[in-house]
Amino acid sequence: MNFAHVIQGSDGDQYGDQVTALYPIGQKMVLPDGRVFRYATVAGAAGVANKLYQSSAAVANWNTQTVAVTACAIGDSTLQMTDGGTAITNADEGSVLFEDVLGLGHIYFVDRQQPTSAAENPLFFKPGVVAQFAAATPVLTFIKNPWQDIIITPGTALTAIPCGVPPSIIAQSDWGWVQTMGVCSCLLEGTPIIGECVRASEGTGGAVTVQDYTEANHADAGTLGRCIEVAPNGDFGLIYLRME
Amino acid sequence: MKYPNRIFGADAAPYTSHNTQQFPLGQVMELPNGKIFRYALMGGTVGVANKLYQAVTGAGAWDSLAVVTCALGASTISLTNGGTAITENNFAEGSVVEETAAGLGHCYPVKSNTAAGAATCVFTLADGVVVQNALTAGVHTMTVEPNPWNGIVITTAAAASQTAMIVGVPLVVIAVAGYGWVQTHGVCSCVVDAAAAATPADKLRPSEDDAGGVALMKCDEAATADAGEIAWNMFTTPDQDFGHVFLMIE
Repeated sequence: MNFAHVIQGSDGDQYGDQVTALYPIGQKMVLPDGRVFRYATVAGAAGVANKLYQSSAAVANWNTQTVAVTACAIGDSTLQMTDGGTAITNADEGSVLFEDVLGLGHIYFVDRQQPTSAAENPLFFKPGVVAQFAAATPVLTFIKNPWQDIIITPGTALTAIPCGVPPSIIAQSDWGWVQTMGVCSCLLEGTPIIGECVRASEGTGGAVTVQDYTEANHADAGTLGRCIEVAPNGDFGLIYLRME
Repeated sequence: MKYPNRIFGADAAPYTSHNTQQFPLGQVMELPNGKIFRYALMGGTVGVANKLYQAVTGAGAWDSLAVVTCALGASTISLTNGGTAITENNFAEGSVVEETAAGLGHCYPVKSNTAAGAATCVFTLADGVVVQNALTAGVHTMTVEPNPWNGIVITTAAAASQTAMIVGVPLVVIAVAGYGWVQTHGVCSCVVDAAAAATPADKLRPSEDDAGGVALMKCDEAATADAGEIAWNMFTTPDQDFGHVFLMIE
């Protein structure tokens, strides 16, 4: 079944969660006032509303792998890769990339994964997409979709990109919407200045904090919005999310 | 013929390129997973896939051109060109901006232009667009810019600063003077300058060392940080290899 590229949602559609997926992971929804949401599934623990979430950390064993069983030829619509000992799971809507210079950096997005015997991990490309280049000794890296198995930001340095703020609780392993753009409520740490940029907090899980560009290392996490309204430290305030 | 403001394309669409122009330059295409692409004309060097591209460097020759008096509501603007010849329709789908403060800074999209040496060049504005305030010879000057996706080139390894705006990453090779799609938003592959290692969730900027590359954005790093962030880093990639990034050029 094909879904609309962008769901034109109504106010209220962003709330709630589903025990089975209603849309592809990463499906985009726009509300009448321009707020943008993405469809996500929560891992690790029950979701918390109005706190910042990140993607699941990339799996080290899925880095710098190679093809399994058969080579990937020009025109192929599937790819089998080794997994370094950790079976590739939840691969739908993820992406596999030819990492080294000889592979020319080609990236292919996964439509679905075919369960099979261990360490073969056949991945089917999106319909109509075929391999553009046949590397002699491919070096492959796979990562899941950014909205697959999301977790709350840890309150230390992020381990993956921030991916949104859920407006309501999404139960563990359930699906729901996380906001990525527009006026949003989020937990605040510190005292952001109205109109100035905020970034993910390294001190409070799920929070945003002041973006100070002179601050070594932490500032490099990058801005993800601007402060609209300053709440007391540790409370929820209004920000204009600009995560995409 | 009018094109939709935004094409909703299939996943395979950005892997295509064309010898003749199929869409307006800068045409927006969005894929089912939210990735965004722009339609571009490749410049004078054959394209390289999965590397960062920029607009063609502005010549400066078409800055601050003198206007020929032009009435409010006009659909064409005539400017007196300088010493660098303008070819016909070089600025089609580009823009002309009122530079002088008295002109209020209006920016108009260009539909077409005549050829001109050191003489008058006539710019026809996009359909339905008219001059918003009268322009007076001797008072107003205007600057003309081509469309950012017209004649794109790979980013320069410029230690001092970038030379034009970043416009996207092509997924496939686009031939010299060929047309194709460059990605501006979403999960993407790009070559990584990892002289300073970027970890997941770091922001990335154009590399000052590797043409077509992205590098760690150190906000407190003099000069190079001013190029600005263009992506999130998604994985720790070896230096000079290709890595997963989340583009946010737009």
